[in-house]
Amino acid sequence: MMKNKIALVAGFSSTGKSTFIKHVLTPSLYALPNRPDAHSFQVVFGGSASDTSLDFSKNFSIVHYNALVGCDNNVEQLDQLEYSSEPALQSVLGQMKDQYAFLTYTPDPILEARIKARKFVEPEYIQDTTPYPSANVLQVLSQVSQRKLLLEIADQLRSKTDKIFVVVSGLHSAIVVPEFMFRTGQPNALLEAVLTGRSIGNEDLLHFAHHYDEFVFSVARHLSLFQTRVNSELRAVG
Amino acid sequence: MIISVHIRKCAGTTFKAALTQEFGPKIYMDYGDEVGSSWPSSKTKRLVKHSQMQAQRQALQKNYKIIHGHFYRSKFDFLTVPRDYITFMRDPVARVLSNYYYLKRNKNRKNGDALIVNALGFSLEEYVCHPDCQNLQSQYLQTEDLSEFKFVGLVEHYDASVAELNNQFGLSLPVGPSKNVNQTGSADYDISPETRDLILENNQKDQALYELAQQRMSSWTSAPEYA
Repeated sequence: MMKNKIALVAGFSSTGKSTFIKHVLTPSLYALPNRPDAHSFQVVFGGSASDTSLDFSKNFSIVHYNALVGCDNNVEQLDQLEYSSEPALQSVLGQMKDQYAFLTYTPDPILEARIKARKFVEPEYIQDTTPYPSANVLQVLSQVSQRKLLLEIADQLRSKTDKIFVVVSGLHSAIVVPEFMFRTGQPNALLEAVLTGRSIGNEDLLHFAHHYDEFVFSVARHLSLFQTRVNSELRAVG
Repeated sequence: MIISVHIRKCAGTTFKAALTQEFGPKIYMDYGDEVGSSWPSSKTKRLVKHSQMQAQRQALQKNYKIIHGHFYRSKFDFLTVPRDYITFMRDPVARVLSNYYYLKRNKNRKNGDALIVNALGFSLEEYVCHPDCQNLQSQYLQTEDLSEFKFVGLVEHYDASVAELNNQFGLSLPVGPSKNVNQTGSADYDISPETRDLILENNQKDQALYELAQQRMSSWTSAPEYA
């Protein structure tokens, strides 16, 4: 059984952290031979102004970390956002040695549309049906580079782990890429397809992920299964 | 036949209009090669377009006097008629800045460098360091010393350059205020000395070629500012 494991999922608001955790990361974990049992597994929410210390008491924790750290409701705080002293992230970093990090990224034009369409703060896990502050989040997006935020988080992580990946999601597809590919903008056919809003086949996605370790390959596989399901549901709706 | 290599953000709008006025239906416009981009779709586009061009060789040679557009200098090596190569170059720092901010303003573009800037959100400093965006003028021109080119104009001296082109080729392209050209080079962009140095560091080949083009220009009698 897994013990004292952690996976960090971090990204800008509306880039798909909760969706990724619920529909991709969690089933990926349970598909592994040494999966955690339900009682020793938890999703921890970090990245709000009150998170000074997170609880990692379970054997396996997935940390949902909002890269805006409360600034989605308070744009004025953006200037003071400093990950090297941000309590929640530093609390996570203490547990991150050789653990996995997934940074979620969505190109700005697609993200803008998602933010405008979103209704609730967090309907997936904590049933927070507070109206989503779309106007504030859009204002933040116009003033800050989500790429810059992600790379700053990656810089913080690098001293602890090299298992850093970026989940890039577009209009009709998503892909898990190593952080260096995102950082350097390394040309790649599948990444290009996602960035330009095209859909990509499962076989191609899995072929791309074949060199990943067992866990990340499982993540890539569940990501492809999830998008197949979503796309077929969308087709059914017409 | 004249082969006119139009480097991105190098007086394209103005020069294209002048060439169209001069050559009318005898000019063939060839755009869409996404020069410099190593993204897979760009490579595919170039391969497809190249073979399409080769298939049209006879028609190109018979119907046109000039081919103008965004392509690598060697693209038309398959033509069997004599060819004179011409181009316009620009101060590398000014060109890079113009290219980057053009992409930032045009978010719907899907070509390789637009993906880097808009879809991946690269900052100017990151963009400058991306291999596809380094020494782009050298990538277009495929030359060490400009010896393949009969004429190399400078965007910053557009009118004098067109006058020299007219003189060399017996043309009558219009001169006058150029459209869509930042005559002050990079001065209009607010960048730090460090960013300027970073651009130069990543465009050393372009800078060397640009200096060669400046030397060439200094020999033209029709360029009074160099007399």
